Amino acid sequence: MKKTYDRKVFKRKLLLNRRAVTVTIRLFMILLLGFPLLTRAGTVDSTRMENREVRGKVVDEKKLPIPGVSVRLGGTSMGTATDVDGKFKLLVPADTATLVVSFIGMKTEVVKIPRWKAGVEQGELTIVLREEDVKLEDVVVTGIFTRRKESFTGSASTYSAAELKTMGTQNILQSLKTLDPAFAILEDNQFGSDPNRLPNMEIRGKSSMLGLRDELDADPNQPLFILDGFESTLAAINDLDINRVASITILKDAASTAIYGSKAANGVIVVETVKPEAGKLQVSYTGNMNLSMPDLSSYNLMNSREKLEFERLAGRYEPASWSTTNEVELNRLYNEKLKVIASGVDTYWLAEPLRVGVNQKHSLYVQGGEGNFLFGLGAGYNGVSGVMEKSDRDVISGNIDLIYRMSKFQFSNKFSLTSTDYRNPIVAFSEYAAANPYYKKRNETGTVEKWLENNNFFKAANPLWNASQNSRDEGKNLALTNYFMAEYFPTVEWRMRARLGLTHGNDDTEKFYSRNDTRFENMETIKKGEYRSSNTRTNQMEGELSVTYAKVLGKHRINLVVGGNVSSNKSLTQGYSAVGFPDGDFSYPSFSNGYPENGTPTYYESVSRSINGYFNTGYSFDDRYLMDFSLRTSGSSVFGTSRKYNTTWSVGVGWNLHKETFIMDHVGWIDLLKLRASISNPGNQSFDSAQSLLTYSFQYGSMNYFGLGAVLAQIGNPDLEWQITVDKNIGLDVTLFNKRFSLTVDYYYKVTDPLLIKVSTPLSSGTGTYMTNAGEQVSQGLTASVTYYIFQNFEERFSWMIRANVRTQKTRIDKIGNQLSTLNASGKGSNTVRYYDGADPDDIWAVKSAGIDPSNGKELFYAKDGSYTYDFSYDDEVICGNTRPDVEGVIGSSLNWKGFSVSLNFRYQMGKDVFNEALYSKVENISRSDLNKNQDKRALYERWQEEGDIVRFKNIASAETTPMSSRFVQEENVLTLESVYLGYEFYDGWIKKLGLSSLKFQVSMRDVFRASTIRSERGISYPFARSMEAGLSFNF
Amino acid sequence: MKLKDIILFGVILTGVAGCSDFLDVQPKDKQSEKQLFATRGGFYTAVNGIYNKMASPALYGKNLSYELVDVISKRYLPLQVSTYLTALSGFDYTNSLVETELSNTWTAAYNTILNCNVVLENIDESVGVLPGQESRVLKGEMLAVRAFLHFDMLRLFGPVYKLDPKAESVPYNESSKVMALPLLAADSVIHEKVLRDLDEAESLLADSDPVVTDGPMASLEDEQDVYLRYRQLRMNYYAVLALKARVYLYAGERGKALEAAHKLLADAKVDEHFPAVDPNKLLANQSNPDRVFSTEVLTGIYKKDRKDIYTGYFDSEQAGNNYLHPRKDFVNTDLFAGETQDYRFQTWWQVASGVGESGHVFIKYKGIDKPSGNTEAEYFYAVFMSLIRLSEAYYIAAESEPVLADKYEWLNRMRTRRGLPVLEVVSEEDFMKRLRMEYLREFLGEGQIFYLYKRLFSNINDDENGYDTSTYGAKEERYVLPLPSGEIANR
Repeated sequence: MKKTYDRKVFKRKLLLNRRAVTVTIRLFMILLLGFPLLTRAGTVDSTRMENREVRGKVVDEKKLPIPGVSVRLGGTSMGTATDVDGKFKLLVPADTATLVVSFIGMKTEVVKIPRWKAGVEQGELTIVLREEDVKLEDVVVTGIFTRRKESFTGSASTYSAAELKTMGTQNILQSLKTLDPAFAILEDNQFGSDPNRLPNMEIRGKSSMLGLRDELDADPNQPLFILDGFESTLAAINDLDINRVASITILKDAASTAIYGSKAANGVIVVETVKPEAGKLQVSYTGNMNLSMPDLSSYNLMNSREKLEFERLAGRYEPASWSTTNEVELNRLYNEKLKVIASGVDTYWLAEPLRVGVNQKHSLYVQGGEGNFLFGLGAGYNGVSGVMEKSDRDVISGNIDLIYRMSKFQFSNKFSLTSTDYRNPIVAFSEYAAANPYYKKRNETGTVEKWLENNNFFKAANPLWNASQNSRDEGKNLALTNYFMAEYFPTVEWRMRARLGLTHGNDDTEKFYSRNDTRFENMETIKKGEYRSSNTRTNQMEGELSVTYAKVLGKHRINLVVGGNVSSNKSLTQGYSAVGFPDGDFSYPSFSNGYPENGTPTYYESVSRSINGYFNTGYSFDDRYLMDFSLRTSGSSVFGTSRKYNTTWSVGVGWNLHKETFIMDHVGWIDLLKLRASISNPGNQSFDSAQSLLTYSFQYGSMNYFGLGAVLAQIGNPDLEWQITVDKNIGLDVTLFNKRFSLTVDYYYKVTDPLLIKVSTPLSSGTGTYMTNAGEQVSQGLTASVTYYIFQNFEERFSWMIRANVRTQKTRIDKIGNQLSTLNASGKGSNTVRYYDGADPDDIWAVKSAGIDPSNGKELFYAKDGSYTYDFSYDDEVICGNTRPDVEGVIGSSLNWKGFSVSLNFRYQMGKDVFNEALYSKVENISRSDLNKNQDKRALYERWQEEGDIVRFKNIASAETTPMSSRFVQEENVLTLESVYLGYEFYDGWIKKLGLSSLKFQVSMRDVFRASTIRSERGISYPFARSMEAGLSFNF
Repeated sequence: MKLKDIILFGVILTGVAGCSDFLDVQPKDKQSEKQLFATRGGFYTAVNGIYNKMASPALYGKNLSYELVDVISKRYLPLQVSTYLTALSGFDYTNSLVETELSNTWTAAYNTILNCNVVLENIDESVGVLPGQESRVLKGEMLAVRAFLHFDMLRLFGPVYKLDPKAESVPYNESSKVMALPLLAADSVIHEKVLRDLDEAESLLADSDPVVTDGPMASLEDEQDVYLRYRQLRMNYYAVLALKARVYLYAGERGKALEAAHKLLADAKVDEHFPAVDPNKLLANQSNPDRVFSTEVLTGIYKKDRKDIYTGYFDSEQAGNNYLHPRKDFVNTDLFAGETQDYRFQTWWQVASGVGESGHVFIKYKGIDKPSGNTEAEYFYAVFMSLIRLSEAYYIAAESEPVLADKYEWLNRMRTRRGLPVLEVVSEEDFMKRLRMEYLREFLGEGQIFYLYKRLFSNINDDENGYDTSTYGAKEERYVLPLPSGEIANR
């Protein structure tokens, strides 16, 4: 598109004039003057006889003179600057043919000096400078202020809309994942590609994790989302139309996030939406067609013959209590199944609830306006059909952007509306996976029966039965936001800004289970059928006032930001249930028999408020030595009455080595070499606002003479302190060989001390667990991205680039002692997560297994002292692996030629250990009742059957519970083709005849294939999907 | 411009400083401490919650009355199918089911104590919400409940006091903040903590508790304020006196125990407010007899589903695996040997009627019909269970009197109230045997018997044993229950 083209042109310019001042964004171009260049301009050598005088004037597009513009002789550093009227005079040697005219925020112009003609009075040259397009990769947008990247000491990356789109156009967060190594979306093994599930994500690992998992609806490791300067939600960003996005910035280290204070410990994602541009009416349209196909490659289920054989070997057809009738009957049932299988029944249940999701996405943006008034109107539709039947998400959005400019003021307002309708399947995918392949889906007459088998011995429900009832699970969500901003520019240095953001959300969900659903099998008739309704309303208000000052004084460049904001978030959830419904299509609560017994309506309110003051300063000396400092005091209702306020600070320093003469003068191939380091103490506020309070709950149902009673429900800690992280970051940015090679490396070391955790306390304190500040967590990690242009030819518009990124990290907890002993004890037998001093919280704790004893099919364990034992004891648990990969990253390549572009990105993941649930629960641990479900093929082929079998899995005939041991821990290495993109853009030619200014076609695919070294089921309740998308966009 | 900047800074600073209220968010969907204790009713609601908790199954609604603590004093012969009750009966405190139940009791007790501490703190802080007299009543009650619960945890989990009063026992929690507390020596728990709280409770309640002037008031007329009625459901002044006597006796300080018991028994009002059970209403009454002898109970709990205790544990036909009954013939040949005229035998025991059943069934908690057309007051005893009854004060006085004749005198007074003949003064030994038998008869289903054995550190003799006909020797591993792992592990 237009921007991509401009960037290439820009790069070419840079080749010509490396010393040109890099661009900054529009806001700063009016603030920053070109003094450094002025001082460097030096004096003109006037001693040479051949010199002649050249006079000229530099103006902008509106013919207004620009003062302070650098005018240099081509190929030298000699030159001058324009005066207040934009005029300059320069003595030019005769051999000089060109002038280089440059100014911050403007495109650098190279002007040919007209040939000397003796006797002719040299006329005044008029040079017109045009505004430089904003180059996103050269600025850091923090949402509060914008800084030149070159002078910024924090770790942040900015991605343009075009870059995001080459990684897929379906979802901006998914695209971001491929682009940035520090940003990770955690794969949801349970819910796969469910379009109605929000992803869990983290930037640079988890900052808090302990004992909180069951407590919170909010993910305490979720980054902070900032949309056009206002705090937003994951849901809003997830549903945001990619075509509305202008840029996304990830603020990773605390030096860049400190300005957000207590909320920013998990990193910040700053999303800026497009702003209307001046000019004639412009219409842009993008349409996409998307196919998503279920990915069942991880499933390894038995076919009907295998399953029956497994059942026989596992002893399903041997009576538990022997009697002749039992034996005869079981034999008969076995033979019946055998007969069915012989007749060719081998049902592939997995395919039953699935489909190929066909999705459409349209977005339209109309912009225009002249002079003082600009407007933009947008509308979008995104219809997502999941790969399971009855799984949809339809998003309709609209937005109105208005900008009004006066001489010293600018007002802008962004209003947006998003309406989402969603629907979830009633029957989880796992139920289809559990159905045995020797059952027929439908009976002879083609109808779905409730039971696949139902007799004295076996009972199996037909998943299609529940799915075919009129049960439903659906919801509607409406989100309205209005962001208003007023700016005042009294002088070039000063800027004042007031912002007000209002967000309203309304979410309704409705669940109805038909009376015929098997869940009501043993219920009284009048209680069959259930309806649940829930409504959540959220209101968010945020106001901010800030003052910005920016000035260049000689070699000193100073930026100051002072501001404060107030915010309030309120959410209210209400809900109720009704039970007892008649047969037929009477699924609304008015048809119910009443409320459930002892069912009280839900009412949950959460209010959080905060008030903050912040200060940020950036200083650079000669563009070589850089310094940033931020301070923020935050008051929040989250914390205990005695600890409402908290101050966070950050200090960053940087050194632009490439601006040092010893590099500038001697090493021509270095374009950028910057070292930066920062330290700060961000907080983390994503905790339930009532953790600091004592709350009471009524003892319903215990009325006595005195009425109701109330007892302590939550024992809050009024002394709760903010969780404080000390975050250190060291980074290196390198650009070499005319910008063909670039590298960014960041190393971080985060110490969170104390953590905010739920500890176990002696029961005599009145409670078994308690939120408190204790323990310490140390995480360190490294992220690096590198790009290299193998070919770069701007004339031919041809380039070929390869890119790679990597992340690795390590975490350790300490000073916990045995405060989490209760949590550790409760995990025994149900998970492999333990918290001990010195260990990584992502470690897998299990008893080390020596394998299966070939002589008896029993498992042999290692005791802690290394000796063999048949007796399993949790006391022998040791670390058997770590769930975090050693290294993970993306390797990709893109090729651009004329309007044609291709890109491929592979994700690699190495050295990750997983506790293979499929092995644990579908190969072993198959209880007698689990024989009713289909299982992994390995349960038949790889289990011990007779003496001498050297196998990995226990005796096939044993239905006893197998404890979690290292036998189920496997190392996983994965390679995924995460995105494929193909695009073609028409610039001119025939499209002009159609009245279009640009036209682009694109095809992209995500998650094309995935190769893993282990076999474990992914997407338990909802399968994963591969998606393919074709799109078309044009402007006119 | 600079000026503007300063003004802005000022605005922000005042905003920050002045917005403490803005940040003070109280959740509306939950009762916060602040909201609850803002009203008089709120205080009574919190106090009611505490008494309700005491009536929960983990405390006096099961474990500390008729089940756990009575099983370990060998009152019953549980069915073999119940592994839990069998393990308990065999003093197997490491059985995981037993461990869990003990932990539940401990947790519930200390959680209730924390609730008391929060109420106590709020009584002190919120001046003016409660009238002065009522705040004294509630403070006295809460201190007494706190002492009562700690004392029972000490009696259950603490050392055999007689052997080693300095031994490490239980923590004493007197803070509304959650904190790890040290295990204190048993004698310091009793003298420095329990008795201190009880003394304060006594002085607070002496002049404020309406029970002194108006009695238990176990009824409610229309328009009456309920909060200060039903004094038997609250830890009232007289209960505190009896509890002091109980504590002193447990600590082996007979003089002080006697003093406290005398204070109660010499009070003419006590007999007036807590009259002996009326045999005329009791013995001939099959439909709604007051089997818990409610008029004699100084304090107890409200147990709405009390009749379920009978059906769930004592009814030979309905109790199933939980069925609790003494061994065959224990009740008639040992417990009430030759004294079957005892009101307690007459009203609390019934010959088992089920198929294959023999022996006696305990019907103290059997459901009773609501008297037709009568006021609610008479039905009170259908939902009432005793925590401290007046008879214990008689027994404490009897045991504590230095002169043998006086000992028999107190015992006989109580025997008379149970329809038994007066005993001749025989010997100290005979007296103790008689007294012990009184405890076994009187307190079955009320959880006091185990503490008797532990206090005396005496064997459970064959003729006192409801489980089998052996004598179970006094052993610390039988009488000292292990602290729950959740108490020890997290230190």
